[in-house]
Amino acid sequence: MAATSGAAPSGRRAARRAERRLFGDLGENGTAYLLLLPSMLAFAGLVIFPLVSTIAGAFSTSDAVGRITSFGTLANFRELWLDSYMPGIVRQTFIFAFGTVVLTVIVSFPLALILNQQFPGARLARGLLLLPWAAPLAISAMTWRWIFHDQLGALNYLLHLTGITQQNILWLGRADLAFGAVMFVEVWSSVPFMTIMFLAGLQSIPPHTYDAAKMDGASSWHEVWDMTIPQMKKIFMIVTLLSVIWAFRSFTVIWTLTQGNPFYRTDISVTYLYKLAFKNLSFGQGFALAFATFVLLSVFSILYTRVLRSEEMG
Amino acid sequence: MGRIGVVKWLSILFFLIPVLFILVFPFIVMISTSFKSLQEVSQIPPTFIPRQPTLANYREVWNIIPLAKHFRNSFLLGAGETFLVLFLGIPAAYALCRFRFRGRGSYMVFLLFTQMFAPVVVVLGLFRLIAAYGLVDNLAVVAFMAAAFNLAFCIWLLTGYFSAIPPEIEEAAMMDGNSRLGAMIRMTLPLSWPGLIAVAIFAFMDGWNEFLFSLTFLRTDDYLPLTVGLFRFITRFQIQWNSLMTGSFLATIVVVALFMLVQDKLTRGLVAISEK
Repeated sequence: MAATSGAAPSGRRAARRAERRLFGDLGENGTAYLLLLPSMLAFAGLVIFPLVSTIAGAFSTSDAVGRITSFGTLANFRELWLDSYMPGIVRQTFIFAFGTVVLTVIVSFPLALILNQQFPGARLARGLLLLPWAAPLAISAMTWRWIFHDQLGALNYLLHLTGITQQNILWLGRADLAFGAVMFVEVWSSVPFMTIMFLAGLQSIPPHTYDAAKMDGASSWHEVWDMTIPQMKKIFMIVTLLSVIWAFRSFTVIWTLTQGNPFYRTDISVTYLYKLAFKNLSFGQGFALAFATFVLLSVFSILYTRVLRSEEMG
Repeated sequence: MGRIGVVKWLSILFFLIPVLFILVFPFIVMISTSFKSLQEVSQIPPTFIPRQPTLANYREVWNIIPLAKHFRNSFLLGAGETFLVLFLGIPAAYALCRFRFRGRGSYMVFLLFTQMFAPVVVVLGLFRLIAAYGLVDNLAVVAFMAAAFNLAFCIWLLTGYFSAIPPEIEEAAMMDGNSRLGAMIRMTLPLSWPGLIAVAIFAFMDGWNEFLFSLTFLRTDDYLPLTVGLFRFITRFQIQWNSLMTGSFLATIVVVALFMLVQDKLTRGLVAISEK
């Protein structure tokens, strides 16, 4: 820097002059705001405005195409409270969100530990792992629907061949099995991303941590429990919290697999509110449930940013 | 060492291989079904490997499902989202990366916030406007919505790729008489092209795989992308699974091929985001 200090000021002055010609005298802040303007406009129009519109709708009466007819009422929340399906929807939403994340962690963590090793075919294994993440989820979920088909599906056929059962199980027709099926497909679609994140976390642990432990004669089990897991804590917290939020807003798997059938027993809040608005044309209740879902997810978001901050401090 | 070796091989045999099998299973079924005749997919018991493999589906599916139109629409959604994400995201990412302006922290928190609530919530709020202004069946609306929801992620990715370019290069360009933005356009953008391509493909995949906005805001077959087009086919007609799986395979192979091109760059970028 010292060597160029003679030439730099005049060069910079020329550059500033050129910039002023382009943008007027905006300065550092002004130029930055100008650069942010396009994205801010997009967010304002496509995210913030519809959000405000939904919140307004929750406290208004609406007609059958979602137009607000009068503002300032809690009737939508009261109707939602009296809706006999709601207790089931709430229960299913929480079981679905937390259940799928717990199951995804249970599969992904060991998977990442194995993929972190050297073995022939490791590269191929990592490539195959990412397939469900890259493929269109709506289309993979429809393929699962075909696999779960009671008479022609691959799953029942596999069970027949292995002699586990000779019955044609109605995977998507019985409430408990259908709920299990949508959770399974959600886990199937979430494993790749989580595994890759865990794998990245594992690879960021310095290898000499393990060398020291091996000299102390630590077993491989202790290696995982005492050293890998604490080192992974931050990435673990971030990934699981993000996954919970994504699971709460998950729509595609349920919609393409069961559409909430049978009898709303595989619906969660986002699919149910979609039905309230677009099938029952009860936009008011749809808005109210959307608002409640928004509040719930905001709580998780605040929690998420808190955790991030505290991890950075600690 | 020997004992650890045994544990490793047992875990590969009894955990990794079964899990990988489940992860790729739908794709195996997809391919296998696409080579079966309608008669073979309707017979009981079913088959895993087609007994009389046929290529007929790949010829005929185009007449059974308006697949060419769906392909065109998916492509338009992917390309549209790519353009929008780059157009809106590059300036924003550059500002976040190189400028220390007032409100920078708030903007970062806001980006995070856009990822935190359900797109369904927005769909509901936007519907009456879309209907009132006759914007149903407008692919641009869907591309804009999808881009807005993917933008935060893409800005984070771009910020990561831009920060890898040393600012001294821009300073040198500015000494040659370039403005700050001129330096960015002439130096930083060309140098970060592998990252830009990764983001472009990420956005294209997101547009191609989009489902919820298309399901809500596109109604006519002529405007449906593959995801919703194939879903309509499932719900509207007596399902011809062989045609459906042929279309599904064709729709999947396009994005998977693109993804393979940028797999390493993209996963590294995503990992960098989560570590921030």
